[in-house]
Amino acid sequence: MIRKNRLNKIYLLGFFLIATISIVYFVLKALDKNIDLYLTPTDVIESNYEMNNQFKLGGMVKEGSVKKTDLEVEFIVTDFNEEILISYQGILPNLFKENSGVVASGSLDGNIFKAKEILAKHDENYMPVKLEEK
Amino acid sequence: MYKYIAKYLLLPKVFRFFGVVVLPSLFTGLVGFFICSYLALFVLPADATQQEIYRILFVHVPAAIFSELIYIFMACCGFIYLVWKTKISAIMLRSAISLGLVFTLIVLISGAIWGKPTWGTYWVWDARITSTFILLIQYIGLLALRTSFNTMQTTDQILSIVAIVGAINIPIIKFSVNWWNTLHQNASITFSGSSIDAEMLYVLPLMLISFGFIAFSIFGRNIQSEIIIRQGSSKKIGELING
Repeated sequence: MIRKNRLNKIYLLGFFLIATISIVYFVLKALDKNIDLYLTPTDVIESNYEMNNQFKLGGMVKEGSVKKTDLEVEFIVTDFNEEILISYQGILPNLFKENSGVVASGSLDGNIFKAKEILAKHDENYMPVKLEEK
Repeated sequence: MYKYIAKYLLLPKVFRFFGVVVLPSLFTGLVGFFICSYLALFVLPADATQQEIYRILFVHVPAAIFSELIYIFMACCGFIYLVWKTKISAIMLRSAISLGLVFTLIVLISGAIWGKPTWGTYWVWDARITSTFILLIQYIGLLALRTSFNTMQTTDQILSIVAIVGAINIPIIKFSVNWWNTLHQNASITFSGSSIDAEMLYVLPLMLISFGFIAFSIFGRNIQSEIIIRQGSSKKIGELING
């Protein structure tokens, strides 16, 4: 048997915990969209390209859309719903490739996203080199 | 039931237990760590997308798991201390802080080293990384609180409360990759299976166990020193220290 004063302490702690959990929950809910590291093409198109600030755009690099000329790269980023053309000057990360995730930071110039920095996002799958060749 | 457990948690008994266990545990952990490192670095095949760099996973993931588990453990200790006033749980809470801090540092540093060649950046304020950074600050805060009050008892109570409240960050770290758009990828190992190929996966639990042994031995030494700080002048502990 748990003594009564101990039981009271457990209730108090439980109440305390529920209170803090709900505070944190509402704070996170209020910040919801600000915590996202990047916007998706759908987010941008839904807002009718009305983004004048710097922001980050993420999604998958569309297959067959990468065009390289010297240092300039152009490709289409898609979330399998909407797509946006990105142009970028600079060095691409090693894991940048078609059908793979990417997060670009920069700003919109008309309907084209001018990227200043490109980060590669990889997935959670790991498999040996040989297996993939088969 | 409480009485049966309490019998084994008397401070001199705990002190003696760790005196016996610490060195063998450290030895086992180090041997396991070196075997696993050899396997991870030389035996396992390279990954199809990330090539060689993915091998840092075998340090990064166990450290991440421990940084979170240790915090949950501390919160449980704090809860038990506040309700039952058991000295040993306050001692355990204090002994785990520095350990958790080290693991969190390992996660962040190995993650940064991993991030540069794969993502293209050392650091980005993405939800997973930011919440882990907050965990680091929580550990530093607890470490600082340890010596901030006049009496042991107040310190223990404050530490317990802070540990319990801070535990809210743990589910946030865990689910940050699902709730928000993040650069960090989703979990590889879930209840529905693993997306790490079986040929590479088996080293991970072995590494986890080795980390566990090393952590346990450091934890034991911390507990011993904490007991000496509190009860070093008592006759029983004094006899144990002097052999």
